[in-house]
Amino acid sequence: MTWDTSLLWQFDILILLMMVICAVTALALEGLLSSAIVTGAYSFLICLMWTHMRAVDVAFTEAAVGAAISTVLFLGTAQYVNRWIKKDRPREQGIKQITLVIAVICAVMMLNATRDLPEWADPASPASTHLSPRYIEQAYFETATPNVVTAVLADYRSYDTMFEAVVVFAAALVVMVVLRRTSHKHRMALHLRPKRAGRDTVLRGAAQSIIPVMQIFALYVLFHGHYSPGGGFQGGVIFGASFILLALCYNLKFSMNRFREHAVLWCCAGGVLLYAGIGAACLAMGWNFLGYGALAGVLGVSDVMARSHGILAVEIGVGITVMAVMVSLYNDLASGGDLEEGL
Amino acid sequence: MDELFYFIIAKYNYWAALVLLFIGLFGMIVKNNLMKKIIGMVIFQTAILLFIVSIGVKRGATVPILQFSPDKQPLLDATAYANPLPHVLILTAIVVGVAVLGVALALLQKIQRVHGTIEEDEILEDMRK
Amino acid sequence: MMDQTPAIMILVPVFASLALTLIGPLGHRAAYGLLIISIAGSLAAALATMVQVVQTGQAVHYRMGDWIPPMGIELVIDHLSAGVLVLISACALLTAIYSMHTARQDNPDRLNHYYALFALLVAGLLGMTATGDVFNLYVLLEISALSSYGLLARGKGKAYYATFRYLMMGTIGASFYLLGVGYIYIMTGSLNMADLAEILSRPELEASVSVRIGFSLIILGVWIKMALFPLHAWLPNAYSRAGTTTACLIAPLMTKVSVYVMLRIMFTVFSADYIFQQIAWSRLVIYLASAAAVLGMITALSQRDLRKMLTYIIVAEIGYLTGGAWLANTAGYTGAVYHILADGLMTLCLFMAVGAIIYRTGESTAAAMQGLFQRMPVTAGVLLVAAASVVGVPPTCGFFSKWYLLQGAVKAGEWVFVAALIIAGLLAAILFFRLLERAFFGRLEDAVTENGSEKSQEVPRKIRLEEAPLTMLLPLVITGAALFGLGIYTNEVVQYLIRWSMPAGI
Repeated sequence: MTWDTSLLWQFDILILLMMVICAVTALALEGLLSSAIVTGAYSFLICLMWTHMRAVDVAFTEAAVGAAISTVLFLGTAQYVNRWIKKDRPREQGIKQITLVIAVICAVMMLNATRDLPEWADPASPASTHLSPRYIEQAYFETATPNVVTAVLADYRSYDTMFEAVVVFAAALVVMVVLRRTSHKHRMALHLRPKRAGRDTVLRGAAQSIIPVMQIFALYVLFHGHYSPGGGFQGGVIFGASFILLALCYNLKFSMNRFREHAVLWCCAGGVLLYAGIGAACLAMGWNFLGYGALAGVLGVSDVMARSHGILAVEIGVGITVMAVMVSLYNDLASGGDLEEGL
Repeated sequence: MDELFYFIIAKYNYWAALVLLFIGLFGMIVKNNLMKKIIGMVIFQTAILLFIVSIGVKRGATVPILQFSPDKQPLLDATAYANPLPHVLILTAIVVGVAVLGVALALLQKIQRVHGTIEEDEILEDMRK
Repeated sequence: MMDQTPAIMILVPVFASLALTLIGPLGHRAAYGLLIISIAGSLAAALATMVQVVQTGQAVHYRMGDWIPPMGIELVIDHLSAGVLVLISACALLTAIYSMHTARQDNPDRLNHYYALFALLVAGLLGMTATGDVFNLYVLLEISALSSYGLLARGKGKAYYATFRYLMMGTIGASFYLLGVGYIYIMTGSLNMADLAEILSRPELEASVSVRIGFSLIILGVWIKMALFPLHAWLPNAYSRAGTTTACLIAPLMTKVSVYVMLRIMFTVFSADYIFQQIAWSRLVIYLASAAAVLGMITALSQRDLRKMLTYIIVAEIGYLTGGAWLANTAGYTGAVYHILADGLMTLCLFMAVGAIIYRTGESTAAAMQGLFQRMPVTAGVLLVAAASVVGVPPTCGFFSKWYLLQGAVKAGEWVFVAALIIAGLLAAILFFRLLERAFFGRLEDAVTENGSEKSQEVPRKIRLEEAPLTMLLPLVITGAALFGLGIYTNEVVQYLIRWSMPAGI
């Protein structure tokens, strides 16, 4: 048995250990704010792990979503709830303990059963020999996209990705439906929260210099997804994060003047509409749904290039939806649904 | 000794994922504070994602973006690139995860408004009233 | 155009939900109309697909993006999924028509967003049923789950906590499913169901522990989703606090589609041989199913709230379905599949009738039944039909599914399940007899005094006819008629749909 030194197992084990520590700490801490921050650190560690596993697209996404957006959403919610958990809990429900015992038994069984799994990182394992070589070998000739992850994501499995965009769209809708019904009584209570003027010069200066760079970078990530890690999802999250940063450094009103509520809603639906619309256009041209080859005639290029352009177009759709949804989630969660005052 | 060493080297990733999975599950089941339950849920989901990404790793392989030879021909040796399919699945699953997280936090805010607390036993007491 | 029906069926509600999000200013009538048109479109496409499947006698395959499976995702509509697809779209259409008054009552604001989530839920359920890819199924599972959280949270005040619990359980279920898919993927390298079936049937994987863990995790996840006893605690809480429209949409469909997913995983991805020979759980599962049926009915009997009563009946029905699927014989399988259709309609009918009663009386306890036959004769009549079907009186469809299930149980020698079916049927009879007795003989005055309100003196003495509005009554009557219709055409359904989907090795 040999293993490749390119996978530094000492490094892996160190990160995994730190992840376990972070996970336990996040659950054990009494303060919810610190828990949220530790969860962010946990996400960041998992990014390192994934980068090391050569899953750069995934690590990129997790860095943008898990370490950044999720933490902000946690913090936005934490300002509306009791920030310290109560410790004195004498009674425990019996059902929970039974569940716990079952869970531990399952854990031991599953850990024991890892013996049966193919060796980690084995190039001859079934997962690496059945479908994946075909993707790697054919993707470039069939879609003209060197980033195989993008090709699989937005073409071979584009039906999944469309519904991924629909999932985030649904999340924005659900949060809106749940939160934006503020009773009068509650609105009075919301007025008591501290107002933030958002006049800190250092923060504003930093925001002013970072945000344009962020947005350009987001566009780069989106449009360069064919050739480098990234794509619609990552680009969209970064673009959305720029608006969130604006809201954090100034205040929510300021960012909502730049990106209005209606525009957010239109973008949420519009991105998915672009994606599904392209699919439907292919269907109308006599191909199957999302068969981008159908667009070859319209674009005046070969089938393969049409697929490449199709990928770009749907990535833009994903980007728009994700950007708007991230902003919408932040706006709703950080303001408790009334869109008056943010984090 | 060597056997054991190889055994650990070959499987440690799956172990870590499973340990994290059960830490998360523990948090979801046992914690009384609903925010902690959500944190448990995040850990639980990411542990599964870690597990699935581990499948895509190949020894000596690089990121799944094709490299080109000097004469612009792609290098198509499948063993040289990590398996892209798990990456695609996990990209989708991360998005699903953040969507669920957003909804859970929204519900949490509403629970705080209706019941005035996010401790599970106090909510149950409040509901019995 | 005919070969595009599988895609159209799923996409029409998706587009409708996008449009519904944006047409807020056009008012509720536009939203209502758009919802009905889109779901009617889905139903038409589903029917067309079913006709095609029945006529050609083989499954319809639809390649998404023109990629050849297993590289791409394909939709596979065979005899089993065709029936379920028609059931989903028909139930959704009836609920959509029914929702005119109740949805507006439950959603004073953001009605169009509520309808958008409604359409997304339907799209998710249709997609889950039609897909031939295990990971795609996960994504659509999450879509239907997310939209159902949104719909359920719109219920009465305390619904948020119940929805939160449901979200936690739902996430655990879906994550177990995903982890199971991960295990299967490690061992096989594929995600396409047909391809997986081929790889998993190879002898070297038969004894693999990892495949077994993968199977167990998937089934466990699906059981959580379908609320099989003892994993059912979230269901009654979440469903009984939901708004009327939400309950009518979610209660019949979500659990049935999960049962369908279980059948798919058991018999399409894995095989009957593998499940009943290699994994010898059937005994245990049948005991669980029997417990679900009996305990579900007993708990239903002890409820005073009508909605809660119905939710426990769902728990009991899930027991029937699961038991039938694990009996490992033809009659049991036929019973389980037939019961998916029958129980979908039955549950829809019950929830609609109770919704109409709650709409008119504003009461959700059993006292609302008082004098129902005089006040709302049509609703009461349909409720009687639905009750007969749950109890299993011929010629309603409930009788035939029970008949097949009993036959299967006897053939398999599972006497515990036989006993459970009979006892649960008797309990259901008692339950509905008590309700309908009140509805038939109870006088209106008693209802008023029982409510203990001071209004009793001003209630008019003569009995007033207060039938539900036509938009509620029409779907209700259609569903009631469908219970008879399905019962009368049992032979055809079994012959043209279920026989064909019979997995090999049963």
